[in-house]
Amino acid sequence: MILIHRAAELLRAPGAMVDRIEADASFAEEAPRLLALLALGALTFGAVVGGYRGGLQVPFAAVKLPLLFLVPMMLVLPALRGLWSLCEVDVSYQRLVTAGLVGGARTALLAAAAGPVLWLLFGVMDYHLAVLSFVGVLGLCGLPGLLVVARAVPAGGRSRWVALGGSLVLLGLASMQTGWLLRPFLVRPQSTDVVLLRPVEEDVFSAVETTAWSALGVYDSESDFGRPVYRGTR
Amino acid sequence: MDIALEPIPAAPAPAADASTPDLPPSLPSLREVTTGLAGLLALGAAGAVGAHGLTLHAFPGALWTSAGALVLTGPALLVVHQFLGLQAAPDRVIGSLAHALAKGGIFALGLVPFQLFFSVTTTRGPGFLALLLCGIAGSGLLAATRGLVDAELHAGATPMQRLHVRGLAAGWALLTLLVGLRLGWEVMA
Repeated sequence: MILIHRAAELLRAPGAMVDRIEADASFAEEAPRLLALLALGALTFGAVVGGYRGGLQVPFAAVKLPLLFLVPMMLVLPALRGLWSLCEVDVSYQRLVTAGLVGGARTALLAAAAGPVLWLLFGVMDYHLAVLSFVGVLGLCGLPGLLVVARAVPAGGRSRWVALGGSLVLLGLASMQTGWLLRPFLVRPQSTDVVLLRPVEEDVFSAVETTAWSALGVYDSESDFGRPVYRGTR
Repeated sequence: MDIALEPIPAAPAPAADASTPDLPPSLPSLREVTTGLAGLLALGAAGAVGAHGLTLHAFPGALWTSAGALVLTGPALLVVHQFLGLQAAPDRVIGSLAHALAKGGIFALGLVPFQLFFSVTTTRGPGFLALLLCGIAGSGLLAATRGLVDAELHAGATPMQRLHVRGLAAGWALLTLLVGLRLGWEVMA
C-alpha cells in the first residue's frame, strides 16, 4: 500500500517529494521504495518490449530494462555534483541521488503506463518502426524524469546552462552505450536466435556511424555482424 | 640629515560593487586541492585502463595537461594583472585559479566511473579522455575567469579596470587553452 502512495506522490509532485525526503532525512527508508517502483515499472515496460517476439525474450528484456535506467544514473551522478559545483551551484550528493531515483522511478512508471499502447502498436508495426517506437516512448517518458533532476538543483549560478548541457551530454552518452551493451531488447518475431546479451563488439558509436553511412547508401564488405558496413573512403 | 620614514597613508579602498556575489575564501583548503589533483590523476588512470592499444602516456595526462597549463600561464596572468594596476590583491588572483583547479579536479574525480565504463567497453578510451579533458578545461576556465572578474569587481574596480580585467581574463583563458592543447598533444603523441 505504501508503494501506491509513493507512486502517487512521485507522479503528482516529484519536486515536493525530493524536498520532503531531504527535510525528513528519510533517504534510507525511501530509497528502497523508489528502487522498487523503478524496477517494477521498468520490468513491466521491458516485458512489453520483449513481447514483440515473445517467448524467452519477454523475461530477458524485462530483466535488462531496469539496468538501462539505473546504470547510466550510477555512472553519471558522481560527476554531476562536481560539474554543478564548478558552475557555481552547490548541491548535495544525497539530493542529487534522491532526485535521480525519483526521476528514474517516474520515468519507469510512465513507461509502464505507455506499455499497453506500445503493445497495441507492435501488432501492426514492422521491426524498424517498432524499434523507433520503443526509443521514442523511452525518450518521451524520460523527459519528465530529467525535469525532476533539473528542478531539484538549487537556483542560481551564472554558468547553470553549462552544467545543464554537460549533464545531458554525459547522461545521453552513458545511456547510449549502456543500451548497446544490454542489447537486444527488441528481436524480430521470426528470429530463432534469442540471447540475453550479445558479445561486446564495436560500440554504439560505430553502430551509429555504420547506420549513417548505410542510410546514405554507402556499403562495403561484410562486418563481423554479417551486415553491410562502411569501411573507409571509396 | 635624518630622514623620517613615515608610512604612506593607504589609499581608501573603493567601495565594492553591491551586485557582485560573495567571494569564496582567498585560497581553497589543502584538502580541496589534494582531492582535485587526485581526481585528475585518477581520471588519467581510468583512461589508461583497458587493453585497447592505449599506452601508459594517458596515466599522468589529465594532471599534466590541466595543472601544467595553469602552472605555465598563472605567473604570466599575475604579472600582467599587476602591470595593468588592477585592484584585486594577488592572493585573490591566485585563489581564483586554485579554486578552479580544485573544483575541476573534483569534477574529474566524479568522471572516473564514466571514463572507466567507456575504457572497458569500447576502444575509444583515449578519445573519451581527451573529450572529457576538454570539457573540464572549458568549464574550469569559465569558473576561473568569472572568479577573476568577481575579485576585481569586489575590490571596487573602475569601469576602465573592469574592461581591462575582462580582456585580460579572456586572453589568459585562450592562452591557457592553447598551452593545455599543446601539452595534451605531447602527452598523447
